Amino acid sequence: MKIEVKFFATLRLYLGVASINLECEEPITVRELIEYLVNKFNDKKIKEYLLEDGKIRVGTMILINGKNIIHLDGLDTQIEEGIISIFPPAGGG
Amino acid sequence: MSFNGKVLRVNLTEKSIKVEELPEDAELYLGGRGLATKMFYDEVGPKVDPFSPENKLFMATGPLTGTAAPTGGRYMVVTKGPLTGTIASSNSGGYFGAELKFAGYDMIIFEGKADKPVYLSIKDDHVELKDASHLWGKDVFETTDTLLEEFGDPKARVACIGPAGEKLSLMAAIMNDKHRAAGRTGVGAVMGSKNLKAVVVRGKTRPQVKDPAKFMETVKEKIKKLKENGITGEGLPKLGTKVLDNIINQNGLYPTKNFQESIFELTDEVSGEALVEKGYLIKNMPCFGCPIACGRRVTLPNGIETEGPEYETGWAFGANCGVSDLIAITEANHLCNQYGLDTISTGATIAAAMEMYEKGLIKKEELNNGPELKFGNSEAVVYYTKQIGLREGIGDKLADGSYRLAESYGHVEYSMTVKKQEIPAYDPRGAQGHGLEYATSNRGGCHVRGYMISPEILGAPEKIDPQALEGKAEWVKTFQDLTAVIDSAGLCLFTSFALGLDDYKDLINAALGWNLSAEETLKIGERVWNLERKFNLEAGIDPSQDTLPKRLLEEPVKEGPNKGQVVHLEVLLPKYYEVRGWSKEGIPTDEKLKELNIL
Repeated sequence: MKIEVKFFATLRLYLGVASINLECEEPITVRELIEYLVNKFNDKKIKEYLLEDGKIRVGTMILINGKNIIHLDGLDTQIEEGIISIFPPAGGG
Repeated sequence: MSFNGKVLRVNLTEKSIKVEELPEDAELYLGGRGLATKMFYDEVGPKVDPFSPENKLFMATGPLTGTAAPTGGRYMVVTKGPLTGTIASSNSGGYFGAELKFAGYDMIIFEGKADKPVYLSIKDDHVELKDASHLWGKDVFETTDTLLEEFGDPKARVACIGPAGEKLSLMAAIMNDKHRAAGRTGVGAVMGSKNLKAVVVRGKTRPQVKDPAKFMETVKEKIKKLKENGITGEGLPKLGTKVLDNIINQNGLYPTKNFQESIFELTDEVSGEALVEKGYLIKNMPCFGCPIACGRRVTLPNGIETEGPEYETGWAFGANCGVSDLIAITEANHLCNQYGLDTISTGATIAAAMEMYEKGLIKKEELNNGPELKFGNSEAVVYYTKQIGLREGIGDKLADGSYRLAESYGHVEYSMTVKKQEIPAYDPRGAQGHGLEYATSNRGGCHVRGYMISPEILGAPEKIDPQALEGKAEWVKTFQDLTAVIDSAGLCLFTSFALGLDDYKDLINAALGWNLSAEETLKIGERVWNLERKFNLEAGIDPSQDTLPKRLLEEPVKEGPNKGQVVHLEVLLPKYYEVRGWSKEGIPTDEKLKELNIL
């Protein structure tokens, strides 16, 4: 299954990468995806951007095909296919 | 304390200037939006014709304006709005509001109509009306530069109108510090109708607070919260408000092509990230006393140096017009600032015109050889923004907003407005509470009367399900009331990403030496909201206008995470009236008005 991970806002500027593609044989959880990203970029700061005390940081937004994982199964949400959009806390108006 | 206790009353017909004491109503209505609305209601009333000399225009600061409170640079323009016919309160940042406070005044009230163009010059207690004939016809930038030179002090601050206000465009803004706008509801046209071109102000006295040591301690604590918050401490400073483009688009509620679609495929080209990655962003431009500094200074490859575009503006001329050319969008923004136009209404009106053109209602010959009004035509957004600002060609028709434009062709359904004002950059079919907020906003279609995107999408102060209906009426009421407190205090709404009711209460109490509880503080906001509602009802804006464009109620979203959704106002609105303590018909009851000391 094909997954596109898109990075936005300050995370994109920090990583210098807009998106990556990966293929998985089986569905992975969001928690596993974050571990994968930490390893891929060899940067633990990614976790700090997104998590606080092992939970999703307030204001951090992780969308699976536009649906916020908070309204799914949180970090345990299974990712099967599609676009994962990751935003560190951001706002405006 | 922290109020100067002085009101400057300027009668333009009689050319008289008086200094009066600030009314005691401040204890009930705080200042800024609240107090000015109360005074406007008492002095003018809801029936006034917005363009008649009997209408008045207030420029009102809050008790925290000009103090060390973070973001304490805001002022509010209150009048009867010509675009909506509602009470108009249009808020702006920059430095003008704080400078007015330094000059010793809490507010200015303009009455009557000058027989020829004038401007008001304020240097502390030296206040005079001056001839502005030489400024009439000049744009905002020329007017500001000329006035600063004539005034002889580059540190003075200018609020003025451009050609759009002079020509009574119903989308005209009052611009201060060149690029900051009291943008919405057509307040610039009220200035124009009074032949009032500008106000230039310089003051030298900082407002006093009741207990300076306690106040500074409170201020430091709140600044720390703002700095530590992910949105106000990092997201907004680094990427500005345009960080929202991708967020709102990925969440599937980014209105595209006049709300026909809810996802814009080319968002990456025009996003806040793109503004940085393309190298256009030069630096942040903070308003007075602001630790966030979300404003942007940009330089374009074509040499234009300007400020913005902000999120709403970028969307209005971008996705909403199907345009992915960041340079054209920024140019249209620049023109709005130059001519003194509200960017949201201007962009949204062009988008409505594009749909009407594509559907064959607006004919090619009406464009007088101008560029085709087709979605995606970047040349058109720049060209017609200029035409609107100068009321040239079809711009004369567009200058009165999309509602009157669509109505003149017999098709109001193409106008994405509430109470005749264009709704901003969030498709409410993707955020039900935000839809309720649009429908009930006291100044017509508006996102900053109760920004439900914050909890429904951004997760501040907590994340709630955007499609849920239960509990939304309560959220909307609380956000609307709290926003009225923030606006009346003289602070920026963006602080509310990090600060809550208790924080605002602390700042107000420390500055004024009051002892408000959190509940009493929020009650001030509820009072302001109910008085505005009462005003609108008496002005003839009946509850049937608490609605949304037909498209958002009847046409389901075509694709993305909100596919199939419409706004369920039929569920949300009755609950909202109930939560507000109003009658089933949406009228504030006598009991509620007495409870709030309005009756």
